[in-house]
Amino acid sequence: MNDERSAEPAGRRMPAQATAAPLGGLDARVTVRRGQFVLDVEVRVTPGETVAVLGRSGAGKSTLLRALAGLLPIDAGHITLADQVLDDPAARRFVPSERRPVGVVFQDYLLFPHLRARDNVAFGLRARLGQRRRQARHQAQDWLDQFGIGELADRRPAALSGGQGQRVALARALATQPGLLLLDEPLSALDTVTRQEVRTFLLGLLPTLSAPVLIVTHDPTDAEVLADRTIAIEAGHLADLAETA
Amino acid sequence: MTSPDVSAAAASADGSGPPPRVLAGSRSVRRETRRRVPWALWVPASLAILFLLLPLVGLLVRAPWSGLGGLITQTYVRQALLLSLRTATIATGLSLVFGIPLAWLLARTRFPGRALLRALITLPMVLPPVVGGVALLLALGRRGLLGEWLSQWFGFTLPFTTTGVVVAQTFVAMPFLVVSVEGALNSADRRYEDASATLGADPWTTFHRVTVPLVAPAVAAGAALCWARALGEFGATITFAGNFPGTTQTMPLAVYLALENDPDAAIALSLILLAVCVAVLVALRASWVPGARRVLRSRGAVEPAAAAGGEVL
Repeated sequence: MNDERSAEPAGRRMPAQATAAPLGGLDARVTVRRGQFVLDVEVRVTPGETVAVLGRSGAGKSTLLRALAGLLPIDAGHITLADQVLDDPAARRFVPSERRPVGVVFQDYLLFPHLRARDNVAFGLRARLGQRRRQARHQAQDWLDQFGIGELADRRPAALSGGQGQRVALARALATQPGLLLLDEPLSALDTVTRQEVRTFLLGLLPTLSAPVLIVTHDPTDAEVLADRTIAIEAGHLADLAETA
Repeated sequence: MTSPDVSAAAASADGSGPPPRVLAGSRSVRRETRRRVPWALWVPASLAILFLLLPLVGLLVRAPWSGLGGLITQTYVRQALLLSLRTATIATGLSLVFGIPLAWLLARTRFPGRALLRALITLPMVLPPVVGGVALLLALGRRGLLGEWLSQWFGFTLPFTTTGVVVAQTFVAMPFLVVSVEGALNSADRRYEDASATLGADPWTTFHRVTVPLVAPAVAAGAALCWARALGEFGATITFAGNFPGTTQTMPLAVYLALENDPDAAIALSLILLAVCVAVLVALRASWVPGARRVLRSRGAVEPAAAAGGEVL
């Protein structure tokens, strides 16, 4: 992998500073090669902006999300967040997931099944912010209260509905004060009624966030409703929005 | 969720699986699949059940129930029982401390020779325990590879000590735990570990706060197997640790010796071992099976598609 990285002509990419988004934003050019499949997209999100990445399954949305989250090193390009370089193969720099200020809400939430809702939220407060157990629980409860599900704090994920699980997952991701929030198909696991409820909730929440937000979705309506701006990817590359939608 | 009829109909409508058999509603289709068990299967299965249960029946029928109280209170019986419980528990503890990290290494990392290492590690499971005992003597005995240094530098010898018993038991029993936990780690949903990393947890925090709790049922099952194997350990123990009442004479050794002088005592000792094992199995089932269900249920809850698929079956 290192050979491949150093083989990349260093001059082909512009230095990150030259094209950087304003302070606090995400500026990424992500190239990932997996056999025949090549993902190569450029994404910029300014602070407070919500951008939707629209594409069919297999288009490379999840790969992009995993690369931004630090779960997958990119093969070429760069990922810069708030002028901090998170991944730059040419400079041999890679910040692993646990040290990236990036919050992720996964498609099926991935709430830890053995922990109560409150402890799921407290998990990141302890791991990322280094809080003590009591303080983390206290603050986790505040988050759940703020999201209107304070009374569910003692439930385990199995006893939560889809919409409730979504809120716990959002609280868990936001509690770590991420500099970038990634939402993976935030509505696709929900039934129609809950979907509308969660959509309304997200619509109220997203404008209040100061961090850039990236939503990955296959649903043009969700992208339209939730995002300030939509980019489309198809077969690993940026595509014409009209065609994809 | 939809009713079974609707989901079954939906499953056949999407074209995957066997072609739909439109009879009098899908309920009857379902009943039809409950086929009769062929005699070529139930006859040998019944014989296997008889064969496995008959010795236990023999033990219960022939037990000297009236003299049992007197036998059990004898010093050597109590000594052997306490020694067995103590050593098997310590061996299980050691297996947990060293075996879970080993299982993690085998399941989560890629390095050359991993397959060979796994095969060698599980060797004690199939190796005749006496051979294990001889091998332990050659490695850790007074003149063994490592044992020589242990005794020269620290004046410390393992063979024929209680510690030796624990070593022999750990040697034969740890692979059971490793295999059980590794299997669970391989089939566990690794995306929970991704989620943990995105929340700022370093690999060690992820291991002990997410990975291990997720495979807790397998850890418990592996520990139970490991403990039972250690409790029953005979060959490696008598070869490596000898047979000294109070220090290395565990229950199985006591049973074997008693069979020559005092068959009634042997039966009584066997009964005690049987009772202890049954008690432990029951206790583990009671406290761990709900845990296993909890994990499975929550997986189903976050993956509605998978849950629906499960219902069709």
